[in-house]
Amino acid sequence: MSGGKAPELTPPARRVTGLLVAWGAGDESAFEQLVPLVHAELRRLAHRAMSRERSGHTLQTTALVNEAYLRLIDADGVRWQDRAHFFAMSARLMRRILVDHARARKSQKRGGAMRKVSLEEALILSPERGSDLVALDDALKALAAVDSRKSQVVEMRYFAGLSVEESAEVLKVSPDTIIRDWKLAKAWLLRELSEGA
Amino acid sequence: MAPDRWAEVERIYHEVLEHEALEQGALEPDPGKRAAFLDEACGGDEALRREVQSLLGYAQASDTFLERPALEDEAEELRQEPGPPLVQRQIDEYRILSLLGEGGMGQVYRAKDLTLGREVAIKVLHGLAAGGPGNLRRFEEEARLASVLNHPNIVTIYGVGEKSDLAYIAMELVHGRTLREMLSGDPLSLKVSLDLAAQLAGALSVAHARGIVHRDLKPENIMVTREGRLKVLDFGIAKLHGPRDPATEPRPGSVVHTEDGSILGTVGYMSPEQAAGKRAVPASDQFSLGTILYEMVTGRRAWKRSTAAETLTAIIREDPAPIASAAPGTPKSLRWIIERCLAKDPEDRYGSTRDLARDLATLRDHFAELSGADLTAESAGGPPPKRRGWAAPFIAVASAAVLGAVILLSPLFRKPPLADWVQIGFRRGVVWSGRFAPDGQTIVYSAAWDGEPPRLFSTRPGSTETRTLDLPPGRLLAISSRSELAFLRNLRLGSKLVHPGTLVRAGLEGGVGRDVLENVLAADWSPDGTQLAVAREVAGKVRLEYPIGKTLYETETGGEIWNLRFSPDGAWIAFYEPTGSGTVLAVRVADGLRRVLSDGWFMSAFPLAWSPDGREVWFTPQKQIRDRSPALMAATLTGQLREVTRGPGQLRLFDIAPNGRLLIARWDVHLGLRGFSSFSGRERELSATDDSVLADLTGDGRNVLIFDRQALFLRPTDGSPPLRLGEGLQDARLSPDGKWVLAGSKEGRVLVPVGAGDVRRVAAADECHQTEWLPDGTQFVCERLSHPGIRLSLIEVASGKQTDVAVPAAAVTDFEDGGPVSADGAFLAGSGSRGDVWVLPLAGGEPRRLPTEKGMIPVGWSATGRYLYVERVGSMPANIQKLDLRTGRAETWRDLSLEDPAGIARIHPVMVKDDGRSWAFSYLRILSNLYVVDGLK
Repeated sequence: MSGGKAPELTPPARRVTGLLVAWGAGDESAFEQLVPLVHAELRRLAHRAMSRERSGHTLQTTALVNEAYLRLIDADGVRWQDRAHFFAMSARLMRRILVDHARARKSQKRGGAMRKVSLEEALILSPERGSDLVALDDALKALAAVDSRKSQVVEMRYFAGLSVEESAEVLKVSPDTIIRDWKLAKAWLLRELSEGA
Repeated sequence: MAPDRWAEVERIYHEVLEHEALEQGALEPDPGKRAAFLDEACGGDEALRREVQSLLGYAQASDTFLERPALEDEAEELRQEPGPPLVQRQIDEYRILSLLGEGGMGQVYRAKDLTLGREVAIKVLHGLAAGGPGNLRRFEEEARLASVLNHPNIVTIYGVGEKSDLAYIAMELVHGRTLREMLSGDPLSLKVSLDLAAQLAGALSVAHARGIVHRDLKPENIMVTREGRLKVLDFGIAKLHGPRDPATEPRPGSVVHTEDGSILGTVGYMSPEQAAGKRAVPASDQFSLGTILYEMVTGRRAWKRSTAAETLTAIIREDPAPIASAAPGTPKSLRWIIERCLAKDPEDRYGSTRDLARDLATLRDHFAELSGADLTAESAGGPPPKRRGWAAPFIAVASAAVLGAVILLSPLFRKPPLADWVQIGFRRGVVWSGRFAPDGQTIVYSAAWDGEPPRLFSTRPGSTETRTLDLPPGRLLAISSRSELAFLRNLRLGSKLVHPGTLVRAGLEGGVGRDVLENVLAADWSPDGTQLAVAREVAGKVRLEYPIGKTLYETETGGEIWNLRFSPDGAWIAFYEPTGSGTVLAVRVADGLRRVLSDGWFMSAFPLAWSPDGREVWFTPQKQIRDRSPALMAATLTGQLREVTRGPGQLRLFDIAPNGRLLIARWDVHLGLRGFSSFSGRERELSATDDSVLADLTGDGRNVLIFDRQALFLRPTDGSPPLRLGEGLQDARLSPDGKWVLAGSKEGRVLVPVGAGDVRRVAAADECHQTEWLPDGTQFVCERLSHPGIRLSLIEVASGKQTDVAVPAAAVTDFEDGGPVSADGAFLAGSGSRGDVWVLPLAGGEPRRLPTEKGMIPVGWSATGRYLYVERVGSMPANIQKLDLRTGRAETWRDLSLEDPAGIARIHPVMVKDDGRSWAFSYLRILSNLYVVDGLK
């Protein structure tokens, strides 16, 4: 909920950053601890977006998400090897969390609901977005085998929401290269998802 | 692919796109030029050329792909999820069902009153106790006070209570929209405004007579049901959250800072005396009512300023824009009422709210006379209307509305419609869409007959001849006045309910069509037959464009538009937007003015058509998922809704010819169940009702459990009649001895006796989302979702004792959906997230993972445990394979189908038991018939 008491609901950015560093160094248990923190923040964000929408204001999720990102991760508080490493780790974290979550949601829908929901519902209701994300993750792994930089570009742009310039900085190539990589990667992934399934 | 090879692909790919961008602006690449360019660039290397060309094929479609960051989708998903902790919890006699909304002071949930069995809304205030006992007591007093108010326009308070750190109010659950949602920009019609204001004033007068002041009236606090009944929320409660949440009610006199103006919505309806920090009196509510009425009539907020402080100042010192210029069509008498409510000094408003209520009610009841003299005098003398030129049509539609009301009120003068229904075509299958050709006789429709993909056909009523159009499979959208077809081919299955595809135009005679546009959901021809209006997906939203390229309307992200229709004069485009509240909308082509014709409908395939005189849009909506007898409805541009007729079963209106003849399909949807058992030796229909889904098949193949969404049935596979076991049971599994059913219910997991006996609760299994019996019947496997993946445990039925099954880390995240348990009880089979099959030893140990094709799920074991039966989900006929666990090889065991494939849309789920000698499956059959109907008005 918004209001004066909000800060105590905020996951301490320093803690997140510390865990991110630990995870980057190979400590898998740090990831387990990161997940609930990131989720709580995303949920807070989602509910805030909802209460704004209810008060008649349009939803500006992008702005909110960027804010969440900044709140989550204290980019200046820790001495990173370099900024690029930090962004790369964050993108990896987001990808893994989002894909895991999509997978959990998917199995919840399938396992829990499939046998209860009637077939007609299954037919006319949309396949959940969660499964798309899981399939995308697989396609991205396949792309990495062909061209790992392109899969990284997708990780940066799509999962971490980084701009072309930020992605260029992380991957140490020109923004033009990022734009071309991004274009080809998307066409490649779309083909993989359309024909590979 | 070798790296240098890939680099070559990449280089040529970009060369082509950049070349095309330079050449022609690259809106629609020219296939001929592209081919020539590729020939040259690839220099005869066929494989290279194929790869580049194949990628180029996705270039355009991938433009919008992934452009919205994943985090945004995630936030959206989470937003739609129920709030975390309270759902499914019980607070006193209420069981919390789902989150309805969240506001400044807490959440509102839908809940069930377990003692009275009714559904209620529960408003939960967190941490109220932390504000001190005085705060809580005040909250309770106020809520009790409000609960004595008994009025049809005030939400009834059922009770208040507190539990640990939260306090709650239980109240009437209102199905409807907030007034805020109704006031999204355009003014409401005069009739609706007056009616709502009169209801609101009536509610206030009752409260004021008891000395209760609302203090925080605003469009967010007012709901309107579909029947048009207004309900005031938060009576007497509003004041309480002031001190707790400064964002929603600023302390008088304090500096209010706002980051985005969200406060304006709440301070914007406050009275001057409240804004100045004085006590609220009954006349303060009158001021708020005046402000709301002003907004309903003019479509503008009376006190809108850029900051809350400026808004407060304006409320105290300034006057809003005069109604005479903001909404010139407003009758004088109504203007005077609003002006009196908005007087700065409470003494100058109404002495008694009852007088205000009476004035508004009188005005409403004499609305018909009003829109005559009062209105015309006003507009004749006043300045010409300026506001987007809406005043003149407003008068016209207002009188049309009155006319409509008069007709509705005089049913005696209406003859009951005697309609004449003539069936077109007699094949069996699904008719997806249909239209009349310009001659008003020829009918073109798309239908999937006898299990084949949908094709286009043409016929004439009275003729026995049906012609198959020589066009690729697809769905018909429209026929122009020049007999040109618009249809969708290449339908793309995906996240949308109506599948987008490639828009094609083609002659009525068939032949080669021409692709126009990708990602199209709906389209219609302009009445002169020269241009297309389309609804197409762009960057996650759907845009209504006319002509193509010019946006008239755009949905929110994730929105959809179905079934565009031009009005006969071409001035309006009506369409259905299923997302949100299920709305039939019309947009004026000239200026994008929008009108809601009707809303609150359940999403379903939902065609619409204009009446020949262009006054009404007719449609066949559903109120809920399987509305058994939905009506044919008609709505005017001013939102007057009437029922035209009701048919047997589901109707879908496809088109209305200029002479008033209708093209309607009747849909019958049947969920059935078939089973084969070694005992009966043949496959039989085993449906219990028209809505039967397979829940379980016993290990010996003798019985099936059937779920029909309301009740659970047990039926012997020899075809004897079904036995009804109970209601509200889900995820049911029959115990191996056939005596108990383990199922999820509202009370948690329960054991329901098949014979006589009592229902027993198995509390230990409450959180299981899926269960499977072990063969000895003393234990079952419980699958729970936790983070980061599944958690499996074995639960003893007698003691409730739980033992966790050690699941290796890889299986925790990748094991997705548990399936059958092997005959010796040692293994659980399931599907994995990567298109593979898992076999988990229940005693612990390394799981086995068998790569399979995607979409395979285990549906049964062989007796020896050597083979798994796996279903290829979505295949038609349903392909069941036998997977050899020793070799990992799979081969087709059986293709399940029905002898009569007509209208079969899906076969699923499937279960195989009894060493492959018994099986059962569910199917969905849609059968529709097309009719030409004359005589409906």
